[in-house]
Amino acid sequence: MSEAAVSSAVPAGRSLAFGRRSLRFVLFALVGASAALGASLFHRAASKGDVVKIDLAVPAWFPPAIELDLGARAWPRRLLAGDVAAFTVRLKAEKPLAVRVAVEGDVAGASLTVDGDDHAEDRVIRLAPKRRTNLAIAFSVPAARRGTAMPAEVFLLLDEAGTGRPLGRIPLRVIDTAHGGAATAIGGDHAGHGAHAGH
Amino acid sequence: MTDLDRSTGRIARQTPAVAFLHRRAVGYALGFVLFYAPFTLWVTALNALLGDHARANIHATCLRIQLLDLVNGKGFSLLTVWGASFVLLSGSALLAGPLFCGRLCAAGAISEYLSRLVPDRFKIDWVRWVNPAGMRYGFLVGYLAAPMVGGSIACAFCSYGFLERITTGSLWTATGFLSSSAVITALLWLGLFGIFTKGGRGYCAFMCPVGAWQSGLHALGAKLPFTWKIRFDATACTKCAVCVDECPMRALRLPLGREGPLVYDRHTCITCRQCVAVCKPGALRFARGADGWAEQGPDHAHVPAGRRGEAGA
Repeated sequence: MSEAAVSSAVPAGRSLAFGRRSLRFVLFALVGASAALGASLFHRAASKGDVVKIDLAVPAWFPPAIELDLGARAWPRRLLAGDVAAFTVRLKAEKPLAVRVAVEGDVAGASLTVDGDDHAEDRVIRLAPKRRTNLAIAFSVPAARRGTAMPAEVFLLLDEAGTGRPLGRIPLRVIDTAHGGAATAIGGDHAGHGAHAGH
Repeated sequence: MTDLDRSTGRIARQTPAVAFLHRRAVGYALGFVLFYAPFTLWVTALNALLGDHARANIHATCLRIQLLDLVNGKGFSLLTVWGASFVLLSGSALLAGPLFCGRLCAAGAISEYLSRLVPDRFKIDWVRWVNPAGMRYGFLVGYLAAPMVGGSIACAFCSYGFLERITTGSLWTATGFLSSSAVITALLWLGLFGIFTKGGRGYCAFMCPVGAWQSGLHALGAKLPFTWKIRFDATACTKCAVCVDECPMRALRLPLGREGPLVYDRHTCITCRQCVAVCKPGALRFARGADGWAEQGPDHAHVPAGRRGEAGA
C-alpha cells in the first residue's frame, strides 16, 4: 500500500469511528428520551388510581364526594401499600384566608401533609390569592372494611382559624370496584374542580 | 487491608480506595444534613439570608423543578432558595464539575455504597452495552419534554424525595411517594441500578436530570483553562486499571488488551475523584489547566462496544 493510500485510510477510519460513536449516542439518547416520556405517561395513567388529585376553591360550600378506587390501582401500588388511601387537594382562595384542616372519620393514623411538610396535623394553612397549597391526606383503610364495596369514607374539615367558621366538609370516599363498588360521584377528574396532572 | 504509602514509607491501614471512600462518606453525610429533612441546614441558612419562607425539606431545593420552569417559561427568581440553589449548583458544575453529585448527594451515595457490599459477579456492567452519556442526556430531554406531551415526571421518579421519606419515617403515609411510580423508583434506584449495577450509580447515570444537567455544564466548562477538571498525564499512566475498577460511574475504560490509552467520558463523570485517590503514579489529577485527554489523539474516546472496562473487570 502506498503512503498516500495509508494517509487517506486513516482519516476514513477515524471518520467511520466517529460516525459509529455519534450514531450510538443518538440511538441511546432516543432510548433515554423515550424512557423518560414513557415513564411520565405511565405515572400520569397510574397515579389516577394511586392518588386522587383535585383543585378545590375555599370556601367549599357544596363539594361533591371525592372518590378513590382501590380496584383501579396499578400493580406496583397494589404490591406495596395497596390499602393506603391517598388524596391530594390543591386549595385555592380568592382572598387571604387562614384555614385549619382536620380529618373526621374512622381512620387511625391519618396524616396530613402541606406542601410536602409531613408534620402538618391540625396546622393552619394560610391561603393567598393566585397561590395554591397542596394538601395531601393519607390513611390506611381499616382492616375490617377491606375487600368491601366501600372500604372507607372520611371527611376533610376546613374551618377558618381564629373564628372557627366552617368553610367546608368534603367527603373523601374509598371505593373498590374489584369488590362490587361503584362510583357515585365523580372523582379527581370532574369538572368544576379542575383536575390536574400531578406534579 | 494494608498498603505501602511510598511518600511516607509507612504501611497504611487502609488502601487508598477505602480511605477515600470514607472521606467521601463524610461529604455525603454533610450533604444529607444540608439538604434533607429534618435537618435542612441549607434551606434554613438561605431562608435567613434571602428572607425567603421555603419549607424545610428537600423540595425547597428541588433543582428539577427549576429546570422545568426554565423550559416552560414559568420564570425564575434568583433571590429564593430554589433560585439561589439552582444558580450555585450550575455555577459550581461549570467551574469544577458535578461536585454536588460526587461529594454531596446522599441519594447517589447510598446506592453506590450499598452496591459495594455486593460481589461484582452479581452486578451488571451497563456500559458494556449502553452509552450512558446518550442515555442521560436523552432522559434529560425527555424529562423536560414530558409536560408538553401530557406526561408528568418531576417528583414521580425522584430518589431524593424517596430518601427523605425513608429518613423522616413518613414513607408509608406519604401520598405522592406511595405511588406506583415511587415503587418503581425504589426498585430501580436501590435495586437494579443500585446494588446490582457495577459502581452502584446506574440511577445517577441514566435517570437523574440534575446529574445530566451538571455534566453538560461541566463538559462546556472543562474547555476553559481556569476551570477544575480531571486531568490526565498519559506519560505517567501505567494502565494498571485500578481507576477503571474504582470509578462508580464507569466513566473510565481501557480497551481490550490495554492496547490503547485510558478512555475518559466527561459526560458521565461526577468528579468524585475516587480515581485520583487511587492513582499511584499520579497520572490523574483534579486541577485547573489543560485536561490532557486530547493529547491521546483523535481516537481516544472510542472503545468498541463490549470491550469497555475489560481491563479492569
